Amino acid sequence: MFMTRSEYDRGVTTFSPEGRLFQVEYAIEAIKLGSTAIAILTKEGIVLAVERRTQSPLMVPSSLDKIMEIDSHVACAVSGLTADAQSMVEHGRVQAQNHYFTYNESMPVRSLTQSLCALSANFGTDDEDSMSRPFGVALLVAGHDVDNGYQLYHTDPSGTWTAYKAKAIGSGSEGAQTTLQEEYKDDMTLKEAENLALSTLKAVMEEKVSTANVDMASVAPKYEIYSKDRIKEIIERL
Amino acid sequence: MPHDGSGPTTRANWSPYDNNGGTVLAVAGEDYVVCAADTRMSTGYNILTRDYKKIDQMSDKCVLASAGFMADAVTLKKTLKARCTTYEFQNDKPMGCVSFAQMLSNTLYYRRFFPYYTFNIVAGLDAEGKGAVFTYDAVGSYERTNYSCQGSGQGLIMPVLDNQLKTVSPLVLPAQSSATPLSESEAVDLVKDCFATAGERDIYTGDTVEIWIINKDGVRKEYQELKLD
Amino acid sequence: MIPTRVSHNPIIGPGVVPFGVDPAYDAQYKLNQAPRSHVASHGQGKPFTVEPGPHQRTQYPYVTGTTVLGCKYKDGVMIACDTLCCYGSTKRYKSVERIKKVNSSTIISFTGELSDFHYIVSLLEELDTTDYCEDDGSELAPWEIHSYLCRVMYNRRNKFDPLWNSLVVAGVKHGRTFLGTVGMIGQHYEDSHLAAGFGNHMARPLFREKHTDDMSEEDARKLMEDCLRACLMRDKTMMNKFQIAKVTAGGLEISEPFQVPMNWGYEKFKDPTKHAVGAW
Repeated sequence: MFMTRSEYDRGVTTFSPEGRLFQVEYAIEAIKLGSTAIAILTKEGIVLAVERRTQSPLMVPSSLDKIMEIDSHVACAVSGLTADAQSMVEHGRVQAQNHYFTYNESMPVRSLTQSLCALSANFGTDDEDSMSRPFGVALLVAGHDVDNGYQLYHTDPSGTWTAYKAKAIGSGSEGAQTTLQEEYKDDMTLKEAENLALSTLKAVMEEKVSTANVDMASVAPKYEIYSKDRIKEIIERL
Repeated sequence: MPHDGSGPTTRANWSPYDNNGGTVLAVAGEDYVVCAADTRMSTGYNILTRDYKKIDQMSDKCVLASAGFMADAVTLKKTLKARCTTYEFQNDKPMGCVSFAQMLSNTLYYRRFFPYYTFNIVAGLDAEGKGAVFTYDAVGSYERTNYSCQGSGQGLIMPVLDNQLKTVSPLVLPAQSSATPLSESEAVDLVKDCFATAGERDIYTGDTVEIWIINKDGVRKEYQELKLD
Repeated sequence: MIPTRVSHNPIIGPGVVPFGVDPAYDAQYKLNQAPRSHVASHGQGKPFTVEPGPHQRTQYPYVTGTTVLGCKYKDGVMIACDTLCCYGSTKRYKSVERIKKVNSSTIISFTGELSDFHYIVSLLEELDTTDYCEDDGSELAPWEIHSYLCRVMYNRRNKFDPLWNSLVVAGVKHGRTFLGTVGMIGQHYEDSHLAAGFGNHMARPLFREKHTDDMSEEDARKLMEDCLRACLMRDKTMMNKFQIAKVTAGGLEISEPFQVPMNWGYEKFKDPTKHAVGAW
């Protein structure tokens, strides 16, 4: 098994005879090692919740940023290699600002997601800003625009994007996704979504939930990162 | 005169620009916009053709009318039309006229030091379905107004529009609609009168007026004959 | 090219250097400014000087053709011009075929610089060869040739190195008759009749009076000859040796050179100042 694989492991752009790109598949595997991130879409807005895994008591938790603003109307939660996420978010920010500069309107969320995916799928080419390997990161892109309202997209290292109502990624994603599937309702309020996101996260986390090890944000319709006090309030609500 | 090259010489000379004349005009209403242009193309005292259309549809509810140098206008429109098509593919919606207006401004300004010698008016319906007119200079300064006129007949038509359409000052509070109070058919009549007037006195305006009317039902065209002289 | 020097700033960018900063640059600049003496390579003859200054693009035409006329008629389209190319005001080349076949459905003609037209023809031949190599039997339509030439002319004006021509493109394809023109800075139009060069003043008024799209070939040819005569008698750079080319659905045909009958023997031509009070 391993031997057959390795023959097609040398080039990132080489298909195996079964039609697989191993490096891309490994990259998708890498995300399952990442911290858990959850996003839930409601009619009132989108909630993002992520786990912060501090490996040492000496580490400053606030330096682990897993929710990032792309534009005032779009944010993303990430899982996997955060360095790769930084590159993608930086690309997205430039695209969003360029769109506003040229068209005098906020960039539609789907266009922005597609642009991020185009970057993801552009590994191994001769292009100037091309990576030599796939990005080892998955994003939950949450945003709002005038034409299509609230939208939540999941992107993976292959450059595939999918719209979701609720999605979990990272190490606890399997269990979390099952919970979301059972608990999600189309007419949820933002507050209920906050509760569901955090309780789901709590269930899959090894540590006890605290303001130090979770981060939350919403897009409703503007991006807002939650303060410690606000997260504390939600923890107490559970 | 000595033939040693010391005397003055007259030689064929060239300029990268020409003024092909023509007048473009647009009036915005509460739920419609009227855009009109004559179809004459001239150079100097010559009429080159009587059938040069200066208005082109750029997207769903947005048209661009350009007077000035026709080769620049055609190039500009080809470029912008291609960008609109790309935009529609990328964003899964036709480009709105407010976005188009910004894009045109940027496009013109990128050529700040070798400008497109074009005098443009963008007419369309905005996101709320209200009539919108954007008026430009050759290097991209622009403004949203409720009526505008550019090109060779500007000096003759603009005062008439000011007289007929001047509405509440934007300084008045609470803000009042700046759209013209005229109905669609009244606006079309006014446009026809304006062109008949300009065609009488401006040698670069004549032949035919092409009038585009955009409202919630779509885009409609009307034609009015002008004098051929 | 030596850029303009500025004195307000020691170094404001590459190539823009004031005197005194870079001696090598100053030397080169001085060299460019100085008149240069040349002697022909065989060492005989007087030395001549070349005007100093930076390199310049084509600033004016040398060998030029004048008027081209074109009009549509019932079965197709025809264009006409004389066979003369002038060197300044000298009637220098008197048997130039100024109408060229581009492909089986398109012809072009020109006013202005002959050498630039040769270059344009070479571009079109290149296009046609590429097309032929596709081996699919398809050729560019007249309006596609016209559109291509519009871009060529406009791009060259953008480089401030224009092709010094007005071109007339005519053809018939897929049941559509085409007649269009493009000028040296890219300005272009299509019409039922048109003229490039001096013919704009002399021939178009006649076309406007007499031309209709559904006129017979015979009538169109007669009108064309009238127009050529009008141009010939008022344009000193024209010659009584013309060609008319026509394109119809059946194919294209470029005529042998012919003359139009002229009469300079009118009484009033004999002593033009006789009836003109106050004339010289």
